[in-house]
Amino acid sequence: MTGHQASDSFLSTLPAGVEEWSWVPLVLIFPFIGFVINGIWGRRLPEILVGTIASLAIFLSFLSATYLFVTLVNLPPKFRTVEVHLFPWLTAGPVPIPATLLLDPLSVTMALTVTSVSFLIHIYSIGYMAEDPELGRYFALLNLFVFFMLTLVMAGNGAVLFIGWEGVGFCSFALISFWYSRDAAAEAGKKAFIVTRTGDLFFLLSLLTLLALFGTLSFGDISLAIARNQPITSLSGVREPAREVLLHPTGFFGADLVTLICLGLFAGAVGKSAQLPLYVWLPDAMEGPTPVSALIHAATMVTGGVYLVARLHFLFALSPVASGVVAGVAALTAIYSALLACVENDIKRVLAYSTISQIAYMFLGCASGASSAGLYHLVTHAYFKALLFLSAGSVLHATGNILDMRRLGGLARRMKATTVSFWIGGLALSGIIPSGLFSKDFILAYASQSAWYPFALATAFLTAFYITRLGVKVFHGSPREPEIVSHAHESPQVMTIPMGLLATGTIAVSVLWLPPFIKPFHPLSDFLLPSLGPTHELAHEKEIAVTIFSLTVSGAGLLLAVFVYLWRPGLLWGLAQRLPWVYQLVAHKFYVDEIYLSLTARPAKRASQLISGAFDLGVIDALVNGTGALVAYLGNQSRRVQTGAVRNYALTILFAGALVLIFLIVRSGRAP
Amino acid sequence: MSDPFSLNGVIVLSAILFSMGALGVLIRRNIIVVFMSIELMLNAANLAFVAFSRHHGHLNGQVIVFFTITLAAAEVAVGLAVIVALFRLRGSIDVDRASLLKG
Repeated sequence: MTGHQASDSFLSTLPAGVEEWSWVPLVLIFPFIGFVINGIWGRRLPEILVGTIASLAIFLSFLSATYLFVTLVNLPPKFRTVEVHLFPWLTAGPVPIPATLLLDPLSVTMALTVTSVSFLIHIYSIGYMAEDPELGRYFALLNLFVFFMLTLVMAGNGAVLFIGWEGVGFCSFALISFWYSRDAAAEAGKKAFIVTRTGDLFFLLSLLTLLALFGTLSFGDISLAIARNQPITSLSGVREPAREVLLHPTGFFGADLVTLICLGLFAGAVGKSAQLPLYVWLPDAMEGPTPVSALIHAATMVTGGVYLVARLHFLFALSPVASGVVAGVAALTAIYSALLACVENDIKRVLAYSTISQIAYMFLGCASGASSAGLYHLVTHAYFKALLFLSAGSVLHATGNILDMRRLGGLARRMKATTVSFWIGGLALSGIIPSGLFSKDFILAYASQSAWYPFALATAFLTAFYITRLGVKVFHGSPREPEIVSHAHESPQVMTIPMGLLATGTIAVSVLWLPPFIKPFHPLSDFLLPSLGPTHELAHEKEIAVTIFSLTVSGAGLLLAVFVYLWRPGLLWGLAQRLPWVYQLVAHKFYVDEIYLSLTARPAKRASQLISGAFDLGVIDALVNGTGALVAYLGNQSRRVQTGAVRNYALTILFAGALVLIFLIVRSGRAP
Repeated sequence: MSDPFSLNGVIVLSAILFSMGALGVLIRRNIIVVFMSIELMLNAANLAFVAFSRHHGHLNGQVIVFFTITLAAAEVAVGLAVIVALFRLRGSIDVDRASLLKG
């Protein structure tokens, strides 16, 4: 294990062989050990041990990540980027692809977020999944999920990242369809896998193009080559400085090469992070167990796309077009999914749409030249979204899996801890209390110059509206079905304590970056500086203006929701009946699922029918059956030889014997 | 010619016996006779073995004959059982009527 030597200011490392870096793989190894133990012996181990082992694995991983963080902080900023070579992995001709991990502020921040949130979700799972017969498989997959996510965020080159990328894709598939005997769960798992794979194809193409251009997939080497403008071999075989090759127009609508690469990478991110148009898998992914949803939404999987864009921000910085596309897609996704969340009645699906919308915020931040603001929102979102999901899970646990918010109401009296947790998460999500307030406002402030600012602001309004609607309908008002509510009870402590810790975390992470008008205190963006580059300072007045504005907007959303759902229920229903087409359009989610079905699944089905009819029956089956018929025909012809008359056989034997004899005599005559 | 049993003479006798047996197998319809013909062919072969054994002056051929005799005894036992079973089944011992295996 050696530290990789590079001396540029952008990527500086310690000299080779420094002892501390042997800690780096530990972050990955612990969850993997947990996976192996629970994967092999999970069925036989006592239930309490299974969950404990899995949680302990993540906790040890969290401790390792903390240690790495402390080590990094104690180094001067320019030495905080270390590429750790684990082993030589692939060699494609002259191009070696080693398995490397990249340890820098960005990856450590992600690793800390992932392990801390995952750890609490693991603990919560012990309570939530207590009665499940397949606890071993559940916790094994959960650990594997975290392992792959950590591989993704700590990868030192594109190939390792891709392994993590596909790994989380697989684990999400396996966990979404964890209850595979239910059709909907199996379908949802399949959908998640296939839809994200669509984006992955473009992602892979971009990775291979980078490999062809730079002869390496190492993020450090690529960024170094671009920063120093080193000569690289272009696709047509000319050696030119890197930036010239990347900015060279291609035959594809005259877009330059780097734009195409970035769009491919973003397509992968769109699939993984469930943005328009590949968002359809995420709401269906709610078929999985609730802690899995929390894990997918908060810590693992969906934030992978944002991480990718942040990690490769130096490529996106070269292409204003690609950054524009990211911003546009993000803004449209944000408002679109927030709209859907406003009409959805399934508790978990509301949260799913909310995730899509919040991820879009992060993309908007990254595309507005403030990757660290996007990352800040990623971290805060991990906490408050996990908190919201765990509160929702607690509600499901108490009510016997009732997902429809129209059947609930008035749960606050019976579930105080859950209600408080939900509202802390919900208000943070709305951007009314820290930390959501700060992180969202940074993104809004950085996006305020862009044309998409109104969209972002409208989304803030809708966010406050839908989460308040959800909270009011579930926890307040009069119970719509009193027998459900009267049976409800607060969840056990193994579930409420993680919720409490997450609620604390939600508030606590806000100290990572305070708005300058409160106090110019921004350790997070300072820490991320070596990885993400500087973010320009915002004028105080502007930031105050944005904050006041967004608070007003969110507050309005909240009050409106309280008004129409708590004080004047029925008002909205009248409106929906007066504007039936709007209601129908939104209630059917703009018919996107239907359009996708008719564009992809149905043609595929028709093609399959064609193939099964013409090709399979006409060619394959004809060949197989024809062989059989030929053999039968030959057999029919040759069976006449068998006369059944004993004397015929005797004669044949005699003649054959005579022939053998003659042959022997002739041969012995010839022989010397 | 001090040896009254010249090799050629005995071999010719063996060949004649074998041909008679083969003809009997092919021509006769009575399965008992066919069976006896087979025995005849076996013993023709035994005769040839013994003749060659004597001619070459060692006992290998005669040893083989003992094996053949044993084998013939076993064959008789099995063959007669088959004939009895066939007779019970078809009520006749005509080989031409035993044609169940006609394809």
